[in-house]
Amino acid sequence: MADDKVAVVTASGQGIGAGVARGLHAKGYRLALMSPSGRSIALANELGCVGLNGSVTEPADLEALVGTALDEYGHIDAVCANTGLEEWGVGSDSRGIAFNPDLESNLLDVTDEGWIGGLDLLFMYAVRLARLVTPHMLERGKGAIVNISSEAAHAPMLEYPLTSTIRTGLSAFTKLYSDKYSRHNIRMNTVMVGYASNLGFPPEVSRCIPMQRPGSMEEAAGIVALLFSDDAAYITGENLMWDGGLARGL
Amino acid sequence: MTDQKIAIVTAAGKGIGAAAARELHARGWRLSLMSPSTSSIELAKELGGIGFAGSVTSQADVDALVDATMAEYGRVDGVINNTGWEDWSAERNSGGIDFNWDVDGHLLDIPDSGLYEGFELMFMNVVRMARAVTGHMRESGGGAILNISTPVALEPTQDYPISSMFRAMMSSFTKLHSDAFARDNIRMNTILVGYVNNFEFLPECYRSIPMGRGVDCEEMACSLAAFLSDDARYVSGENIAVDGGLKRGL
Repeated sequence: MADDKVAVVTASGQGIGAGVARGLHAKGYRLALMSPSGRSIALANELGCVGLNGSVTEPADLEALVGTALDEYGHIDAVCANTGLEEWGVGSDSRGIAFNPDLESNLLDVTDEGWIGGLDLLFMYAVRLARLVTPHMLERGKGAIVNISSEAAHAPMLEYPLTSTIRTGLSAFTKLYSDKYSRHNIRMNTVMVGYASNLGFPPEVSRCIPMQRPGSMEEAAGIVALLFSDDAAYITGENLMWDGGLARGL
Repeated sequence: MTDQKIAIVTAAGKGIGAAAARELHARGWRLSLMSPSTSSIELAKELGGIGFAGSVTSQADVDALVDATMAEYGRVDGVINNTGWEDWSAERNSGGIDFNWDVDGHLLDIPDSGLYEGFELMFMNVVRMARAVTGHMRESGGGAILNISTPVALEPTQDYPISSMFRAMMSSFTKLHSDAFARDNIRMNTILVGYVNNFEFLPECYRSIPMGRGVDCEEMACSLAAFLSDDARYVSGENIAVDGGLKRGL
């Protein structure tokens, strides 16, 4: 059991966020959940914890979430900063991370609103969460934050133009945050998701993955819980591939 | 000469941008320059090119620059995307690229406005220019774009948080632009510029550089001209360190 640990999970209404919430609950964490759809509230009811309606791109919603967690539980041990998917993905994604010469790229069609929206959704949300929880974790003398990101942040793909570019900034933020706060026993790591079972992919994708399958939601919860735990007490500032062996770069 | 090549240089009023303009001029390029002050206009007069007052953070200014270049010369063969400097450097920089325990930095103090400005200055500048010139280069059979960046884009440091995060995004965009347009003979590369002698750094900084010294703007300009030239015609999507051996990662 996690000995009365408290975790905040954003974008937890479905997919990896919901999977992480369930996995942490099973390990004894008490949770504060948020998503824009109402599904986090339903999940929170099921798991006997607190849930809010709100968006990670709204600073006030993030503030409300952290405030609610502190009001309800008195402290926060861990944050899983999950978010939504970009709206500018293109192509069938059938070749894994390999370059696809047949892809019709929309790289230069992304509008200013698209880029700024992507910045909010894929970068600013994590900065804002860090701003909100860091003073509390400093006071408490410990904390762990795990950002959910994408493998495309380190191996950019035209299929995901915003994720590929903007998530790279999140990897840098992870390192800088760790540089500054790991001395205070607050760790930040980022999980770089390859292919996960919550999204539908063509079956050919699995052929590109050494493990021949996408990762499951239970497995996603496993890696987040591991990074939260003291088993990972010396792991910080790391961008960890969670991809069944997909990544090519060493 | 009828086969003279045409280059656009932004932030060309001083420093690396101005030196690059002079070096390209010396190598026979015709120039179109822009910077926020009138210094690009003056430099353009001296070098027999065209100059404008404008900002890389404005799509209208970038479009006007490219339109004027097309009107004057009928083509664009090369672009050097230079930009301004960030406002959030640490007061006392760390004396090198390695982690420095004593550098506190501003990471979570940077307000939203500072992060959005950094995104504009160090990422969207490249997107905006790519939007404006890629079509013209495609029509004329190709071109080369060089983005000015820094080794901290790949190895983040508290010294330069904005550069570390947003220029990481630029490195990824470089790869994606190349994925989409190298087939049209349009090359985009990013030059990771080390310590330049037009700024004053602490003596320790130079001890972290294998070559033991910073780089002069004129010397940097030679490397830029080289990678813009056809000698580099099979180099595309690369992040190239010109840093005297500073960067650590392979």
